[in-house]
Amino acid sequence: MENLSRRGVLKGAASVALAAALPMPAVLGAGTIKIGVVQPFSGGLELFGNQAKLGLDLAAAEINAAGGIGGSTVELIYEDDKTDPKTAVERATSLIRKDGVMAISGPITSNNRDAMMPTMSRSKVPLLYATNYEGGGCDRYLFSFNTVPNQELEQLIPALKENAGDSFYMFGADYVWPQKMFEAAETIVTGLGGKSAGKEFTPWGVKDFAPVVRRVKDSGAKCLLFALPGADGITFIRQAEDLGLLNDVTVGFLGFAETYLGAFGEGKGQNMWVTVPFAASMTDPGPAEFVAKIRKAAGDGVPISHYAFTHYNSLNAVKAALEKTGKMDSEGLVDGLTELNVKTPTGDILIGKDHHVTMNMFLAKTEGAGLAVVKPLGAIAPAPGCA
Amino acid sequence: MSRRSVIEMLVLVFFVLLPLAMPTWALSDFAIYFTYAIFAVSLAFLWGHVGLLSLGHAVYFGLGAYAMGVVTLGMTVLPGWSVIGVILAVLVPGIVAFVLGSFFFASSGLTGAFFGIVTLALAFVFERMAISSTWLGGMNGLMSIPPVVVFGHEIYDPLVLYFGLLGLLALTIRLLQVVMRSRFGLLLAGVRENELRAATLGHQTARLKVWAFTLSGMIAGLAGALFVSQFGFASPSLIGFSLSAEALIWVALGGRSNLLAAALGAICVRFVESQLSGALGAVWPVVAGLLFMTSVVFLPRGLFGEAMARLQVAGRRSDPS
Amino acid sequence: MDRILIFLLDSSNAILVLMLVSLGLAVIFGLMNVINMAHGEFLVLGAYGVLTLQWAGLPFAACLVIAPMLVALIGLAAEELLIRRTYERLLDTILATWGLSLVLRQGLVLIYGPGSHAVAAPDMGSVPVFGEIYPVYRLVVMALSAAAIAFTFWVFFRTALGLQARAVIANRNMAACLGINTRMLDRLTFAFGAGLAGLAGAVMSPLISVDPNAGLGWLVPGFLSILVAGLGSLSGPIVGAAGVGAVDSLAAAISSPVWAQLTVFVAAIIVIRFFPQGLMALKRREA
Repeated sequence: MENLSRRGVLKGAASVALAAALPMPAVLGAGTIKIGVVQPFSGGLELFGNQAKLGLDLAAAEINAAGGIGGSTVELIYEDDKTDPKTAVERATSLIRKDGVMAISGPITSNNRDAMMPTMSRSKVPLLYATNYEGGGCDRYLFSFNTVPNQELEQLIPALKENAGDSFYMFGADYVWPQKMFEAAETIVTGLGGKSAGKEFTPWGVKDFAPVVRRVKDSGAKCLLFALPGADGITFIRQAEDLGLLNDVTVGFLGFAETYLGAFGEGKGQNMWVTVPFAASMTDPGPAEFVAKIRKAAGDGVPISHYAFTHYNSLNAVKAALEKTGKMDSEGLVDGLTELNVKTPTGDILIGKDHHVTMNMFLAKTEGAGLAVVKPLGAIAPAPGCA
Repeated sequence: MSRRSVIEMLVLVFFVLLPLAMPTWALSDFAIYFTYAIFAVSLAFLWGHVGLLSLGHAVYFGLGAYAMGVVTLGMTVLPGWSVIGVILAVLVPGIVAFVLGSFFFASSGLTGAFFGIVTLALAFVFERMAISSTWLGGMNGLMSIPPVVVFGHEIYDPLVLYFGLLGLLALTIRLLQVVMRSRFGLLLAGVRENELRAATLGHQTARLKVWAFTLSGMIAGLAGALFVSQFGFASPSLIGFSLSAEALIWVALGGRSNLLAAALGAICVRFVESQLSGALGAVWPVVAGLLFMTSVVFLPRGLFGEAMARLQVAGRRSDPS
Repeated sequence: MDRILIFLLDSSNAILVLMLVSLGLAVIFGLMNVINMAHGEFLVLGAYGVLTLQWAGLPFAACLVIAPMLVALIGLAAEELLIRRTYERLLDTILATWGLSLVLRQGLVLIYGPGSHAVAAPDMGSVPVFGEIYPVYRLVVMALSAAAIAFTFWVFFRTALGLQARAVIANRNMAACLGINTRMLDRLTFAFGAGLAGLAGAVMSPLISVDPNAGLGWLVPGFLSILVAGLGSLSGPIVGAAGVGAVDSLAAAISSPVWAQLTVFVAAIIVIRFFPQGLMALKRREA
């Protein structure tokens, strides 16, 4: 019953009374700004949930150490969505109705986000989504702080074409994100005069990828655009390496995060190309300091990926937005976030009219036990596909 | 009034009075728990009363959810009325259950574990198909499904939802109890106890099982429709293995051979989970698994099933009549 | 021609491992009438066993031998603490072992963390086979699986213990009357079945992502395999796994893994429905 004691029964009852009395659930408590966090801390995607927590915790600590937002301290209330949509909605509803949060940060997967959105819009509480996704999430109460397909692909495909060859095979998991990713990729490949050597999708839980590896080999493709996240992706890369595929093709790893490294085995999974908004190996003062601060709080061995970075940014954006409007509620936050410039460790990001961010991106590849930045790509604007 | 009815009445009175002692935000949580309970009841009827362990019962819940979503989002030629949605959400899973049931049970059909494993594989098949269907929104599913509309009013108020769903749950349990006590229901119990004997006595056991399976599927579909109109989304996770498995836990912990016990199992597991999962974090699934194993081994009748059975026995002993 | 041979080689790999998994399931199901939903987790435990022993500095070959034995020990403990209490309640064995799988899976998360781990593959290099460069370790996996299957058959058909086990499968009560210690056999059987799953996990560990959820992908195909061919004989799971694996590989090669999975499941469901005794029974009837 940690929840009850932590928040205090009285405080809970008071906020309930307020929440019940007012149509707008996001009412400020005395001097605290509550932000709910709905992330997976069990059920398969814990690694990403933990990355988000690293960034959010750091941002909250920094904001509160600097006097909070307009004198109010930020309180993060974590809930586990178990990587399951109905649990995500349950937790979000309870955060809104019971805790009266001003905004919710999360989740990771697209299906959880889509499941939560009707509840968010109905309650008029913004969702701060900081995971790369397929685009098309356009709503007054949805803000995306990570990339959409064009930001990852626009520079990655030309780089692959130049360095490896002009025929692309696309292989990914059978769901919306890889499908949209490959749609966008096909347009770019054709536009560059390259050719698509094949495209296929796989269900989750496949253990033997030999048939797929043979097909990629037989296609004669030079590049493999790869969008199979999680454990299955690791299995594929291991088998592809074993069967000699990685000697023939160069992998463009979509949705890459440093959390994958190490799972391929020592000296394996090298020379895979990615575009990311952040890499832990970056030596510029901003990112280096960011990495050092997280390592100090969470330990030296902890992998740090762009998920930690974008979630960190999302909370800092909340601070900037509230200070801009001076209106300490959900609507004030939504208004403030729109067309806002936010400072981040890799330079400013711009939240556009359509609630997606223009960010500095970096071309990098896996090398040794980390990502090596090949070159900075500058700011890339999102094409989220909002009408 | 039998001791059993007294217990049932007391439970109902408890839930009717509960909102007095509960903050508003908890009402909508309980409305969802009641929805899960309706689903649990459909599974308990099939498993406890007919002896068919369906390891993929979420298929019918999910079909109901999608049917409701597709209709109320106006994706069909039909008008997007909630009534039509609910009717289809009951009919579609019913028809699928009837067809699959006929396929499973006709002539020397599947029994016991074979039935269980085939239904498990089917859950994967249906989940796969939902993921592959672009019309149904693929992996992300359907979103922004509206609440139920009654006479032009959206049913979204927590208190209305609470009592509406409590009423539906009570009605469902009552309806199934009437079915179980009817001639049809007694024959089903006969099939459970000894199918060969029932068949030898000249009863069409296959047909009996098909209809029981259909009825259970329809109720699961109703639960699915009620679920989406509260949560506003339908996705493949509602149709597949994980929800099926969750429902099994509810029913096994609550009590498979007593509908009310199964319903209480769903409500309690969900409630305790939402209270404890935050505090226990990653340890919670271990605790849940251990509890589940213990209950299967030592309390085959389930926590509430066992309690109610004992209360009834105690009642009979102390009752001089 | 070479293409077809390479395809056969690729498929054999997947099929042989599936055979190991199914064989373990079938032994437990056939002898004890227990449906072991935790079988996938036993497989994963085998992989984690290799990982842990490797961390401890043991050479890979030693890990391959010891890890399955550890899993067999865990199986023994599970039988003693849990499984034996559900005998004679077939459907409850499904529930109890399913609860066990939850606990084992989350236990792994708590101990090893939720992420994927890499088991370092022994560097055996590659050899040219049918005009392709083929990794030697894959050939080793096949050889080991085949050897384990042969060993199982040897135990059941050439040893006194195996004779007793087959007697129990044929008629448990009669076997008990004849003085066979069925309790001891149950223990050994469950441990042996778990060990086979552990071995499958151990040999596959360098080829897959070792994570707590890796087991589920084998469980359902394993069950379908043993039901398709029929229970009651040791060759059933072998034939069944060959069938399921072959259809899967063929469909994956012709179309895509998405359709392969659907095809296998639907085909297996239809076969199980129309031949509940299994396809093997057909042949026996004709003979």
